[in-house]
Amino acid sequence: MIGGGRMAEFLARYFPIFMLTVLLGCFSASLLLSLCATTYWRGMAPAQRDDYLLLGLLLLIPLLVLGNLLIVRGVAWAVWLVAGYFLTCLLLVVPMFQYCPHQGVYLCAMLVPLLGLLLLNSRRYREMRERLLEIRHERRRLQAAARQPRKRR
Amino acid sequence: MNPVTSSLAAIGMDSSPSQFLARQRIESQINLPRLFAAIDADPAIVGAGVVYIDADFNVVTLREFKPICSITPKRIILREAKKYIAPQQFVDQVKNNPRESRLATESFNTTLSCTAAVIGWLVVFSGSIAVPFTAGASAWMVGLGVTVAAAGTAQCAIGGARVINEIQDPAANDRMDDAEWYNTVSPILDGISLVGVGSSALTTVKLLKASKAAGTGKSWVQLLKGLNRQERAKLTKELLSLRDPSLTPKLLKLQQRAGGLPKRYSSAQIKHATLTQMKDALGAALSTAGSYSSGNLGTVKTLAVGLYEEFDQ
Repeated sequence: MIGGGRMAEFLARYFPIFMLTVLLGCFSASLLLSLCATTYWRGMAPAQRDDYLLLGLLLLIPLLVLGNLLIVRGVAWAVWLVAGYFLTCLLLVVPMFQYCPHQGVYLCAMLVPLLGLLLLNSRRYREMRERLLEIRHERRRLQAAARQPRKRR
Repeated sequence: MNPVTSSLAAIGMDSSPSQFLARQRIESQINLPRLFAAIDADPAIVGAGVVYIDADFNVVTLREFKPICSITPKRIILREAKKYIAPQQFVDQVKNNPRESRLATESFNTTLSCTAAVIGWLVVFSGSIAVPFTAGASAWMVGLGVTVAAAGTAQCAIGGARVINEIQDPAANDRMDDAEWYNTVSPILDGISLVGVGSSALTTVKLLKASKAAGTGKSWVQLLKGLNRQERAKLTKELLSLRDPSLTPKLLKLQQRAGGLPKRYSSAQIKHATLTQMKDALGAALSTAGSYSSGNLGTVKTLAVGLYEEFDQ
């Protein structure tokens, strides 16, 4: 279905929006963790704070990577992983208001996950997921065909 | 003499009475040769310029920078506290000043990491949609791409956090530099993303060769983790020699990482030993406040010692 010139076209159409969601995911993790250090964890010993930061990274980044990887592989429900990721970031940031965080950073930390959710919900992103699902079916079919006796080649 | 001071001299500012008096006062209070000797004894800051800012904001250049320890200018800044500021408050103020040079560096590093992430994801993305047609090769490519994408994404997030830390809590970055996990994880992630980003493994091989040339016989990660000053300086020099002839982003990143290898001497973060030596040189009239504050803060003046260095990009 997709090959040669079609692939470049596909990439040009869908890769930017995909990458943008990944980067927004990255930065919402950065913003969340950096803000956590000055709000929720401000009373902790610095060493402990750093451990929590590492723990946060270890939880968030694999989730983001896994979600996006599954989306690329055409798994339909994987978008909920990424959506959940953005929602988690957003929900954890909101109560920080009472700690009077750095205003610009706080605003960004609110906007970035929201923008990520907006992109997930955009028409082009949905279209991309449908196309990726088709490709997944295609791949399945070809793999099944490859398992057939060799004479098919 | 640099252009700034000479232009100041031209408009008569350098020789204003208060400047002149400040210089005289400083020279009578501080044993300058001993101070310079203490600075030059530290290989990382040998030849660094020395600037003194007194309580009335008279800026007196005690010594110009000589490009011995590095090409980019490094200046030791001795800042006298205002009389009404408590020493600890002054230390906090100096420590937490936003550092524009550092912010630019962090942003630049983040951009590089994110580029690695983009390339990794591009490989995954294009590999996945092409799999039905070129089964074998691209499956392997996707495997590599996933590793690179994951490493790049993690570095990108860490980089982003460091940029934000630099804005709201610069001291957190200094702590992160010292944290064991960061020093272990970061080179590994960098290594993975570099292997992926480099069209060949040339960059990595070059880096490894450079480490060998530095003649320490340690593994790469070990090299990046625990080196003494001289070893670090050697490695940095070797890596800088890789800069020529073409300064591609890959090499630039390597060079930056190498430049980041010695503990970064940000404001109020000079190595304890050097600080102690300098404190001796500064004499009994002054107590030194830097990354540590001295015990006897009675009637004496408070002086912050910082190192300003420009990061080349």
